[in-house]
Amino acid sequence: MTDPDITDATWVVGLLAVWGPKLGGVVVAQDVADDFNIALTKASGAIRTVSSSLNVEALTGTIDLAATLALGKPVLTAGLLAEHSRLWVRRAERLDTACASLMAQALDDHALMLVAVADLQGEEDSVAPKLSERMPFLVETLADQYWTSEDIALAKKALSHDDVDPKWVDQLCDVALSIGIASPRAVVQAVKAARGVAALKGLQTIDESSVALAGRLVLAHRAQHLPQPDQQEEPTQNPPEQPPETSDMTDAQKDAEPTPADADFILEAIKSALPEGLLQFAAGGLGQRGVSRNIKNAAQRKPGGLRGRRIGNKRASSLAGQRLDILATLRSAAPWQPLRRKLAGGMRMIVTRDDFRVARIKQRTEATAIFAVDASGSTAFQRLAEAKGAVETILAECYVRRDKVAMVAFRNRKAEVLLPPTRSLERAKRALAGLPGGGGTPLASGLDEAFELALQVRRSGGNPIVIVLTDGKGNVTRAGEGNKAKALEESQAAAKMFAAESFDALIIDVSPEPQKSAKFLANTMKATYLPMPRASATDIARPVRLALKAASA
Amino acid sequence: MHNNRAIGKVKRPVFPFSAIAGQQDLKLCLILTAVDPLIGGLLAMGDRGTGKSTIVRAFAALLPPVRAVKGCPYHCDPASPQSACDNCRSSDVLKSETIQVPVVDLPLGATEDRVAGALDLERALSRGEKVFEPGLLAKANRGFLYIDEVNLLEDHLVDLLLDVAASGENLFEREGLSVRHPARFVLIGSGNPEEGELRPQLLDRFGLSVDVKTPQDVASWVEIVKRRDSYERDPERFYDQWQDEEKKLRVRIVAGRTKLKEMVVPDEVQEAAATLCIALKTDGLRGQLTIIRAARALAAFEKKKTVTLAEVKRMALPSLRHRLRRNPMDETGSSVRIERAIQDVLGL
Repeated sequence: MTDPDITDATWVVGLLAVWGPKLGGVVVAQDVADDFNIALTKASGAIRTVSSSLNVEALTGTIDLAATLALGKPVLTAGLLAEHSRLWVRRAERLDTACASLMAQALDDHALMLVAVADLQGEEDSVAPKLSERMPFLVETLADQYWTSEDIALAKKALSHDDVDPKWVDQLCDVALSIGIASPRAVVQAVKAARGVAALKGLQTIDESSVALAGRLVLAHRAQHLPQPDQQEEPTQNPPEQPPETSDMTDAQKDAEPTPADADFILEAIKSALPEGLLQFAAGGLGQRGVSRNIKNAAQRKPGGLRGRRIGNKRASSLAGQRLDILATLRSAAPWQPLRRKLAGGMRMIVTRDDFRVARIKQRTEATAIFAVDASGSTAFQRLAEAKGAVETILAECYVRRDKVAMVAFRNRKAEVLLPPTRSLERAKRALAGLPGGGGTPLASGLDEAFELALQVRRSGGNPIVIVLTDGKGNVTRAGEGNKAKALEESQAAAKMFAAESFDALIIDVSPEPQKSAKFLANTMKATYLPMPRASATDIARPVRLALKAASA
Repeated sequence: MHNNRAIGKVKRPVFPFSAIAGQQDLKLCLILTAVDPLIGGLLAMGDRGTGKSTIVRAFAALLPPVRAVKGCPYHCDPASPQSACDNCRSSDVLKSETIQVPVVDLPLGATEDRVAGALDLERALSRGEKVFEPGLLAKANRGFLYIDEVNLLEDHLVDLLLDVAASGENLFEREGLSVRHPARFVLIGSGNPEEGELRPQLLDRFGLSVDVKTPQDVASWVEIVKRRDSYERDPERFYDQWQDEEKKLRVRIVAGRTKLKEMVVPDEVQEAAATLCIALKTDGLRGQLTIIRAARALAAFEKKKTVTLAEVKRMALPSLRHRLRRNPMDETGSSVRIERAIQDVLGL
């Protein structure tokens, strides 16, 4: 294989084959996974595939039932992590937290090379950050050529273990910081990747092009913004609809001179691989896309076993619809063995129906309070402050009850999810800090967004409660036009959806005088109507708290 | 089920504690928990990739070895029978051995069996005996229990931990077994605050708390990357290179422990700590106790003659940061509030 113009995916295959578990692994987009698998298998042999529904026992090993019963003493299976140093995980976005933690530790120990296949289309689901952080690469393209095992063997031999020229480290660090990469770990990975690239090229030492390529493969997909340190913190003045032209951006960059000129080659290589959207975001001064996306994922990931936590086991003479707790069953059978063997003869383990134990599961549905806040018009300021206070009050109590809070605000022309379901007070504070008020009332859009969130929560096994703070007087349509009659029609239609799904809902009327429009809305939504003129944050929090309690009982 | 997943894989030396660039606060606080375990553990919250777990694992290798009763699953201290398990207490002659201080990882998905212990299946099946198989709590006795992502720990495990941490022993009453064994350990927790809150009771259990951040300057990054790269290429050699540093630090910790016993805390220091806690309205006495203990450990570690207000000032933030009552309406961070109080109260 000599063609220098091979794709990034091909390079990643080569690097993983050369380094094995010492270089972590890769996140592979679902649609190129098959292709990647073929390429990787050609380069370094077949890899063990597992499904993301695997449990902790499968990773760490558990009791082998058949062998245990046959031999009359516990026989343990080795567990995937002990048996394999390379794992291919399908639908890795579904991995539960505990499994992801175990894999993260194995990655830290250089005991695992992980290929995490994930659907990267959806914004919401992605691979757990603790894993993707430890895997240097992200592959979304096809591998166009194949490495042979001979290629790899040669490269392994050529792999340099000498000190890397300090200037490369300087430059990689410099670039990584300038594009907003949060952890030096990425640079450590990039240095290794550069060694690998040089080895695959048959070079004795790392050259500029190897460093540039390594930078592109490892750093580019982690970039949060282009190197424009001056703009990073400033809120944008440009409306996002009008991204500045590319030429402006490069000018700004030249002026800022964020990196020494000699690191430019890495930067150029990285830029060629940056996602298009990022360029626009960077140009607009909003450098936080990647960050917020990661955070979102982290907060939305469901901790393992929340749907029902095991609180012990119980005796069960029939197993219909229940899962046998094998360990507990064996434990309960164990003390009887000498006696049973005497009666039945032989050395086999004897388990009778009396021994059956099944897991006792305590169902606890996680409740999520979704606030939909009318941030329109003149009273908005007051309402918003109180709503924000209520969200934080509720959230501050959430650690005890393990509930979540989300918030939608609607004003002017559209509605916006300010805070996706979260349990973190810090995130809430940040999300709520810069919430503006004023403008018209796109009530229907607000209800739509809240409805979508509620559906999402229900889909993931939670119990949503929607709290709408409004006077019920919508005057902006879904399309963002001012039309009272149509706005009313649409908000009624949106309200009916809630009734149809029988979501729990509260309408808190915060206008100075209770409004008929709000009551009407509540009726259509089949929601509880609570007029609360001049309500404080604590007042608002009280009924919400009760509703949450009821929802998660 | 309890097998080590590293079976068959050669264990490489861990990254040396002294070689960790930056993270001074976290490193110092860890050292202080080793100088005086009564400080009561450490919580390190921060972003991903700040090297929290690397530091804790490195810390484990740094700790000076201790004497323990040979063969005792709880590695009881032969010199302190009052804190020993029933077995060691009732034996007349105890053989002792030198062991590494246990630093036990409590993984997120651990079952209660694994943590608290369970009926020993092997013995039960093969010999029909009911014997207790100790869990992670037993393993961590006299050492450290490390929980990464402690804020994601399941509630029933949190309950168990709180119970054990409060009493210093694990009471096991299940499967027809009734066992009680010592489980005194220093709790080390880490996590990313973006992912969830800690239960307040658990938060209070941690003596010190550190906010971990990654430095954002090129020079520090270059140093971190160079050391890491050098370590990963040849862990053994790297480890050897840092052995002298490690030894020095270990000696200082041991010296700090000795010095701790004679370290006096003057009344004015006691009063300052109390006034500070009152000014900040921290719940309970634990905050005040922690400041004093941490300040004393710091003075001992740094070979000071006596504890002064300077130590109180330095330890106030890590001792109190996580104990302030949250006011949802007040955006001021804990650190700012504490610094303000230090200025008001101590005039420093």
